Amino acid sequence: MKVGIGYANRKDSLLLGNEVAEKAIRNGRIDKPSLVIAFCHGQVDHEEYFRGLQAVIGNKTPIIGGSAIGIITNDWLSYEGYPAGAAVIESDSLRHKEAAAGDLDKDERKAGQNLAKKLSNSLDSKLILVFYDSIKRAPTATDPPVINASPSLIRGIEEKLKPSVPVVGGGVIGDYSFGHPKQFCGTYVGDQSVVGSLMGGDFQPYFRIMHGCMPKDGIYHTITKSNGAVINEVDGRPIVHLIDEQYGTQDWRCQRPVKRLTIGVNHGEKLGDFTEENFVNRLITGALPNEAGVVIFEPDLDEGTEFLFMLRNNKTMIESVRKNSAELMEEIVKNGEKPVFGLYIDCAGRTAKASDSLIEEASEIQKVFNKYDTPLLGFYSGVEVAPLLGKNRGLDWTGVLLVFAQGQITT
Amino acid sequence: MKDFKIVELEQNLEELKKQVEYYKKIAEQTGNLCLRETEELSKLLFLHKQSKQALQESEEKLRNIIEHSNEIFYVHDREHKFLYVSPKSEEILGYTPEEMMGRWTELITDNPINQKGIELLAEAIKTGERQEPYILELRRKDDDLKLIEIDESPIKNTEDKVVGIVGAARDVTEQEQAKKEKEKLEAQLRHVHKMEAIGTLAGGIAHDFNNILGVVLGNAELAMDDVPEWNPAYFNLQEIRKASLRARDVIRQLLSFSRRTDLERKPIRLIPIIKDSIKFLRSTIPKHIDILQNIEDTYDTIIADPTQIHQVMINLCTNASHAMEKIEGILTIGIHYVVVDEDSQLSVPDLTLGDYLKVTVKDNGQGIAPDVIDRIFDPYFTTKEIGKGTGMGLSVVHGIVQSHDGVITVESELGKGTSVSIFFPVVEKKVVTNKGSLNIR
Repeated sequence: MKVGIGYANRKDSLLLGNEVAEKAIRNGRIDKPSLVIAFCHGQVDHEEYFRGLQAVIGNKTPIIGGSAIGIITNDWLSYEGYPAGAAVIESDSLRHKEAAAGDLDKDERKAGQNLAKKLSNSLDSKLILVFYDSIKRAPTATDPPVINASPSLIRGIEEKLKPSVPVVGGGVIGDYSFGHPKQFCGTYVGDQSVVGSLMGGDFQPYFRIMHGCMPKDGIYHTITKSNGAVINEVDGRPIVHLIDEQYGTQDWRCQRPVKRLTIGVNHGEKLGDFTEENFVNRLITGALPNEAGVVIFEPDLDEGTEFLFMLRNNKTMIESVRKNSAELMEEIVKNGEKPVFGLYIDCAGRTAKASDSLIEEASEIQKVFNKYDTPLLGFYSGVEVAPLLGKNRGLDWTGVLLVFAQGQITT
Repeated sequence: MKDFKIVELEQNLEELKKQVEYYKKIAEQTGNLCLRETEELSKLLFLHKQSKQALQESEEKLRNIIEHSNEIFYVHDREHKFLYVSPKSEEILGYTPEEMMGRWTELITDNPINQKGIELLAEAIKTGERQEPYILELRRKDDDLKLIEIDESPIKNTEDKVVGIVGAARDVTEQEQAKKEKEKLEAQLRHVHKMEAIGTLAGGIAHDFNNILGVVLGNAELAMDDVPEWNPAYFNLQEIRKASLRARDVIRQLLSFSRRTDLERKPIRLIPIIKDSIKFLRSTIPKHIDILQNIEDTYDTIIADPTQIHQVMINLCTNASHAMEKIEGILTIGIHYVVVDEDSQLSVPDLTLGDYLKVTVKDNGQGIAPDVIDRIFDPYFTTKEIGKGTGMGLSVVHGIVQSHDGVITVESELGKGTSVSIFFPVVEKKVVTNKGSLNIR
């Protein structure tokens, strides 16, 4: 497998596509591209960018991906201006099939089923790579955004494909205002769509989930009133008042998303030692204006769910990335394989800008990949999707690192 | 009655519940404190990043202004060691900022105008007071000379001690050249007005005086017919007649200067006339002076009065020979065909575009002092000893050249000689060979 990474940042979207594709082909010494994974910032003209990529790569090679708040490669990390990046893959041994389904905003589960039906399970599947539209409804002056639910989408996919196949990918988002993003659906640019690539053949997928949250106080709370993505009451009290008490002020209500506090559900032993890998965190996208509740990024926490308030911590986040990415690469090498390409699906809330950090956590991933001389493409997402505790899940405020490994290293 | 153990267990349970509540409260307070501190830290980091960004933007803006300005900005310490030079130095002086820092002192020429700047800089460092802007002549990397206007301010530390200089350097070469050119043109204009005024005055006086002189001379001659030669009065009448004739010559010269004489202008070939003049002059100019001819074989028809051209040559060559009285002189007479176009017009601004014959009379004599060169065409102005010149020679030449629609220029350097050039407009050009350009040679 040969992979070339291209990156550019310029206003002319067509030329942006040309430049990204040309650089990827040059860097990877690609002769016959078989698959392109591409992303671009929300303010790029996606159709023009797509056309620019196709002009160089040809229109027979499927292009999957979509909008991103920012791009990460081995040498670049940017969420300012018009950043765009692509990985062009050439491989005879990688078997893959791409498909897309629309109407995500109408029914996420059905969209997932439709996607899975088109993909079929005929390949010796090792992985499904999915990218989908995160935003069901863009925010208004008074209402936070409404998000397409990843659990329903994943359930739809799993109902039609082998549930044992890991689903890895992300919900795409193009800017911090939660405007409507676009998806690259193989041969066209879509919206309210999910695009997937079912992959098999001579490669091995490895992945790790990077966290960075820890329990604020270890006290479990129970959701006592909720409606979809809105949590109204906790322990019989309005959740907004509870959070006011925790902060000591009401200033947090202006934050979208809330910067330091998330909601974490422990899927491990309830009173066991804290293990970050056991937690699924949900970003609080904002408080409703009438104190009626808070909106979380995924509508998957029902009444009766026990959770902990989690504290987002930059130091923990960076340590988690440093440790997990290094360990993953070591594991691959230890297994006698060679990392050939890394895809980093990184929550947009983890940028230095959004998390008020002095260090970009993704720079830790760059260091590790440059040490192993492995091509890296990453993008800043809305939701990250990866298996956690044996189940495919939509995650928040995580970084999902997927590494394609191949071949045996002879000593 | 409850069993004692049950009561004890219930008490322990109650105690444990209290402890759990206590620990929960502690954990909650600690967690909230941690959240608030993290939030506060986050705000501080945000403010820090914001101010850092604002500072970067401000620096960027300043750098843009400095780098896109037409001036070189610089900072140096008291010992003239440069700490910063803006990139404009490469355009203005041909040196990159790095090169400038190392060798700027080598750029200062030995032109005396630089002395003032050196003194003003020393004064600024000594007193800490801003000095007036000054001009330095600097040598570019490609050896061209540039006039640079310097505007500097001393930099002081908290103890009010001068620690360096911040300055801006602007290329004023073109402005200074234009200024000089303007001053020259103004001087020429003033000169033309002055000569016209003098010419009008002299011409008017000469005309009236000529009429009076006619009466004096006529009556003197009539009286001589009536007075016998032995009569002493006859001698007196002869003296009156001689003086009147001399006065008539002077009046002719004044009329030539004021262009009031009748001209017999017709198309003539200039070269043969000049050559005739040279032949005549050879017999009158002292032998220790060599006469060199540098006459181009070219089309040479101009509209002129041959007698007046002859007069011009005699006056110019006589002046030249007087300037070379005490040396082994070389008098060079040249004729060249020149074409005045828009580029070459700048060297002799009085000339209009067209073709000219340029006649040059050059000597290697004592030269003319710069302070009197503007007055050499004034009537009766002379630097010669009494009896050696009337001061009318060049005035007459000036008048004749102007009446021929020509232009006269003079270049002179003390101790090295003088070169007078006259440009006569060429007419009816048919055949031109060896055409030259207007480089005054």
